[in-house]
Amino acid sequence: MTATRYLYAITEGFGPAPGASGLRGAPLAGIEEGGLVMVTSPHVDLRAEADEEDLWSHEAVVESLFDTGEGAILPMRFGTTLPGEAAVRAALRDRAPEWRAALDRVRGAIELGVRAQIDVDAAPEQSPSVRRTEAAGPGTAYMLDRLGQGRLAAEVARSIHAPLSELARESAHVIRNQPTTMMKAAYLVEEVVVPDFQREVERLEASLPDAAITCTGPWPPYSFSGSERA
Amino acid sequence: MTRRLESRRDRRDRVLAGHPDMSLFGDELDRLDRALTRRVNADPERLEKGLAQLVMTLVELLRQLMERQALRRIEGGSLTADEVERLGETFMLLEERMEELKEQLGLEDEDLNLDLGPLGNLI
Amino acid sequence: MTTTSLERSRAAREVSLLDLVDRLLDGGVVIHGDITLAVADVDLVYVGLRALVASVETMKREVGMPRLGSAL
Repeated sequence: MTATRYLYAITEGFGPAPGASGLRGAPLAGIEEGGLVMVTSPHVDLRAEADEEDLWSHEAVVESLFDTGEGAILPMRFGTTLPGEAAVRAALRDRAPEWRAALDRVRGAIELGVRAQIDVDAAPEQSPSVRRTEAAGPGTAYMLDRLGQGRLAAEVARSIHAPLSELARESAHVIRNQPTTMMKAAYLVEEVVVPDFQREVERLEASLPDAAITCTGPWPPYSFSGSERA
Repeated sequence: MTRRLESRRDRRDRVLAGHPDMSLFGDELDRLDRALTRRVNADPERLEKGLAQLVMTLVELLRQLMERQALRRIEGGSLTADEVERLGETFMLLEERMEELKEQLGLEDEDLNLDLGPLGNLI
Repeated sequence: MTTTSLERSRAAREVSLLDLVDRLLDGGVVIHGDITLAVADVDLVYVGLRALVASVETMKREVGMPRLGSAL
């Protein structure tokens, strides 16, 4: 019987260290086809639950490949499988162009995550639009205040994302305004630029009193590899 | 090389810059509880969802959608002064009533959310 | 309010886990679609709003009891 292959990442030609193991202690095996290697572990009757320990195990395998510096990798999402070695080889052959392009896209860069919480409750009474319309009634004041707050918060979020995206090869972000304004973003950053990025986050945190910002990483390029389930 | 994490005391602490505090998470901790089985540090208070909570979550969603729509209309200049005033007063009233009900039910702002799995949080 | 270093390291691990989950389970920072309410007329918004206020007021009357129990 062919074992299911749990997938960790695609690399450009290198495999896991000998004797290394992955999820539930299963041995890692690289399956090579046309210069691309799919790093896998074989399992019979695997039920991969999204469990904190298993997630970090998966991440440890991906990072062990990422950290070698031997080349670019495309990290797989947790729980990605193929029904056996033959299926892996077929996928590597069929999707080689797509995956090679994705490797080009991420080579030499790491992913950083940024979260920001923005609170501009500061003195809505000072908003000029509110003062102007005091005569118009409390309902109007309320709506204009909400409008002003929303705009201000969105401005702050943009003033965080803009300089950071300048330092990145690529970026993706979402800004949400309800119930509070929060920004979440991912940046694909050249390795040599990472210290500058770190400093910019610290500078923004210090200079924007309304914002609490945190950056996590380095992560393998999950958000930019375009790798869907195999 | 920045990838090297050997110097980290804790491999599960990936903060590179900034100072995280719990306010950064908003409602996403609920998502963690739903997404993960056997969470190591699950806070039991977060795992409870009642009917009232679900209803209030939907009410909050609708309120936000309507507020967003109303603000768009105001920005676009397509409302009369009377309409703005009437809407504002009604939103204020709704907010007041919701606060009273939330207090009655013992709900916090963070309790009013729903995890939609891959779609993220409802609000 | 000052956070203790224990709280800080717990927050650091939590945000790291959140970011890990975003990547491993969702594939990264996904642009969640903005739910827009296609309301043609302000009166519809107003009517909907009044209905919401009424239903919340009704709930207040009907749920006029101490905090609901927290049974699982």
